[in-house]
Amino acid sequence: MRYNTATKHILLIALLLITKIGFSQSTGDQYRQGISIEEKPAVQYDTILIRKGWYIPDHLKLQYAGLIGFMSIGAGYEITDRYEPTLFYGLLTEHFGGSSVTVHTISLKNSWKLFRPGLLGDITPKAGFSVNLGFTNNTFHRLPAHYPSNYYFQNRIHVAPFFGGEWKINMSGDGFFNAVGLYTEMSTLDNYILEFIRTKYVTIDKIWNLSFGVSLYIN
Amino acid sequence: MNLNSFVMRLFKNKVHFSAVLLFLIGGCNEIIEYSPYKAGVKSPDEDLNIKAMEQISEFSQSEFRPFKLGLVGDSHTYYDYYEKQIRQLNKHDDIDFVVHLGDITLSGIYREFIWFRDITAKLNHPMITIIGNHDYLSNGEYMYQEMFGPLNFTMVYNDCLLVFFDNVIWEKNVEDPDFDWLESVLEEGQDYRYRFVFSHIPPWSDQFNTGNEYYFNMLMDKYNVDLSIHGHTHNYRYKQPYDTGPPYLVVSSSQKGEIFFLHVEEDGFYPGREDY
Repeated sequence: MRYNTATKHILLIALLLITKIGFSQSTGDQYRQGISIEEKPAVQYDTILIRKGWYIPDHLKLQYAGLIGFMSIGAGYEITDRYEPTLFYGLLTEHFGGSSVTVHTISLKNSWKLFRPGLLGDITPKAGFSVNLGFTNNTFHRLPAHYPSNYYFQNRIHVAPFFGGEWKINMSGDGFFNAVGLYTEMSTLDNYILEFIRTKYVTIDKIWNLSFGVSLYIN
Repeated sequence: MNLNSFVMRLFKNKVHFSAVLLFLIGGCNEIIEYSPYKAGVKSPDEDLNIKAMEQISEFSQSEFRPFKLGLVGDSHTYYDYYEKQIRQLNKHDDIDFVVHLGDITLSGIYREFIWFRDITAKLNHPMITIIGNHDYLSNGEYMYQEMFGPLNFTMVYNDCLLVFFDNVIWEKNVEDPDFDWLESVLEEGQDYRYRFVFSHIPPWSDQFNTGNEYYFNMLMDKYNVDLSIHGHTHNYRYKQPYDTGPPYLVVSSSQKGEIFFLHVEEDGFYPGREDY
């Protein structure tokens, strides 16, 4: 079998790469081993550290109103000091909010603290947007086959921007929760913003709604 | 922390925060919204069609008397244009009542219904609203029934039969309109002076297949319907498209800047069109 020059070059580069990766791996391992030998314990031996599993969220929320149902429950994480996403499930029924048809909503609320935590004491202004997934009689991500293309725009996913604030009360003791927060938010919906932009009738005061909630921070 | 100290703390430290909240709760209309997919309204916004029909029936006569209807349709979210239509309709004191031929929303969501209600409340005449295909989106189908009443209904006014018929097909997952119901009410209504049928979609339009199109016109023809009135296509038409059957009137959408009338006289009827 004969190789032409290009194939030879490719083989040569591949060989070099493999050897290099192999070497770097082994040196990396040696390096890590070296570190671990010299590592000193950061805490005293009599201190017990309990690390939360990833499946335990940083906070739980219970919310009233706010486009995602009469009541909704959520759990989320504090990814950074400022960014905290929360996944909500909201319910609206005939006896639970006065809707003749039951509505289930899944919502991912992306919330950012507007200022450095602690700057305004125990009040934290927040803003962000929720991505809401609704399940109704006539919501679709992709149009059913019997419609001509572009007959309707997708209406399963709505984006709901919000702003609001939370009053966080720290709790003493080593309980499961270390703080409780009371929050309120004003939110609106992508469709409502669109009508605010393109009509004079829909003014800024017509598009907002108010919600209240409680946050529980897990120790 | 006991309740007393909690309230004291709220009032001492958070008085501005609370004041803003109270202002928002009191200052804005419909400030609490559970879901854009909610199908429920607060009193007195329920059964608006039924209430309008009760109001209309008070000045209806048992024998024929000429009358004039106002017609609008497809207001969607053309709110500024729809407001103009309402103002224009208010300039005509001789209108008996107004019929909206469907598509009162764009996406069938909660506040679109509320905004429609708020603008329509400025109308000086009673209004009957039929359902359009857009009003079926999301949970609009259920919201419509909460706010207005049944989807198919009839009314007798001055010895004329008015049939309000839901003929939306695709949004019901390709379900044919309830032609059996339409046939039964038309069959019983043969003794009235005129028969008018109001439905959103004209039979030659997109959602009707050929079978439904000819079946619809066959019913109009068989039961001597005098005029079939529609919206949906956003453009004015007044024509007799089939060899047999009644003339068809299609009213244009709100942003076209026109309102329509139906003059019903002793010796016949004719549509009116007014731009402003």
